[in-house]
Amino acid sequence: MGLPSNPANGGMDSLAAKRERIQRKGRIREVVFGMQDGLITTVGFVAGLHGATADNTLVLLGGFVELLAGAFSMAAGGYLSTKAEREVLEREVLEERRRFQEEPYLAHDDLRKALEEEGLSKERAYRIVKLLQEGEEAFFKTFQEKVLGLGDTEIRQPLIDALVLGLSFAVGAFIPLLPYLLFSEFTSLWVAVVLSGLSLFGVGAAKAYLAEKRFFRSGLEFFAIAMGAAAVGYLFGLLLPGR
Amino acid sequence: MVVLGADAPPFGLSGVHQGQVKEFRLADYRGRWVALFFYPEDFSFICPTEVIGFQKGYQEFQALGCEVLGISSDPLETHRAWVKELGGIDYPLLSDPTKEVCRRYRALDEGTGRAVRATYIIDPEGLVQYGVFSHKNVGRSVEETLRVLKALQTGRQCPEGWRPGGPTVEPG
Repeated sequence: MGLPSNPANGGMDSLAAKRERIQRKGRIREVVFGMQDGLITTVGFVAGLHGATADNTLVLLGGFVELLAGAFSMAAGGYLSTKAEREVLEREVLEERRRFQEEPYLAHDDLRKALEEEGLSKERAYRIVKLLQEGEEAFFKTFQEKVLGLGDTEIRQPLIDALVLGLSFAVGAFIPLLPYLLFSEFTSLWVAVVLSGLSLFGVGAAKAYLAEKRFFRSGLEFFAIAMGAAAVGYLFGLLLPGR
Repeated sequence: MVVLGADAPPFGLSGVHQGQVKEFRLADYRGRWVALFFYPEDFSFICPTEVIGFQKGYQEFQALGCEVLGISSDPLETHRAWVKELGGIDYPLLSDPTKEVCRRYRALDEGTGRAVRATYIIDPEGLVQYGVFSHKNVGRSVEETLRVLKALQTGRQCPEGWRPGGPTVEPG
């Protein structure tokens, strides 16, 4: 939902748009985690099933069931963990708000000290708190960020987290299945393994690029993990009495 | 170290009084009562009620022959800005940046490096006659300090909850 930048303010985004953009970037964690999990689980699963049955239809059927179950499980896990975290944080904020309403001067003093710790003189920090007192909400939001260290971005949305995690898992899981829709038994497994390896390399590299780390090394790391998962899955599948 | 009924630990500190920086020595107050109060810091949202409280009671302290001295570890410039912020304080605010005086009066919280809320009443002979400490979140009652000062000035035994003008007992 990228809002068009406004040329009147030098092309700067509105505050809300800026915040949303940062929040969206912050979801990279869910995307990377979901895709990587979808890729690794499915490539291992598909290789195993292929090793055991060498039957494209069975692999596809099993693969899609695994994709759905995995995506749902990821979404459910994401929803529950984010909700739990959110509840704990919200409770904390609520408790602080109650304290603030009962003894506002203690909260005023806490914020003053927090501002002093950021390098403002005692007198200036006091004046800023005095000014903020003119708007209760403005004061409390600043208190929440400076004293509790909790911005609104930190309090995450469980449903959005669940959706992002589940979808990312599904996208990741679909990649190793794709060759089974297009190729014969003989080639599909190898295409699936190579495609998954390359995709994981991409996920690893993208993550490293965003975190400003060495992307080639991180990509290789992810690639090796995918290969390992596929090899373990395939060998295990060969041992099963399927063929 | 401060001991009840013994000489109050002597000190000389710079302080802000009516916009001027002056040197204040406890010895200069011999012959007068002194209400000495320590407080954690200037520009706090908790302390001003006390500093203002002593300001409101200042006339009465004066009428009883008692000087009021406030002490914290804040520098003189901060004291000066704080007095201005509060709209003027008639008694001196002394600065104890080395915290030596706070320590000598057992009024230093070593953890935070700030003074605790301690109040002493020193008699005209320079002897400590009263001392009280309060948790940092609880402001002291200036009225109570005045009540104790008046009780001490009767020179008699004052029962629990004694009020000025109430019955007293001849010390045995």
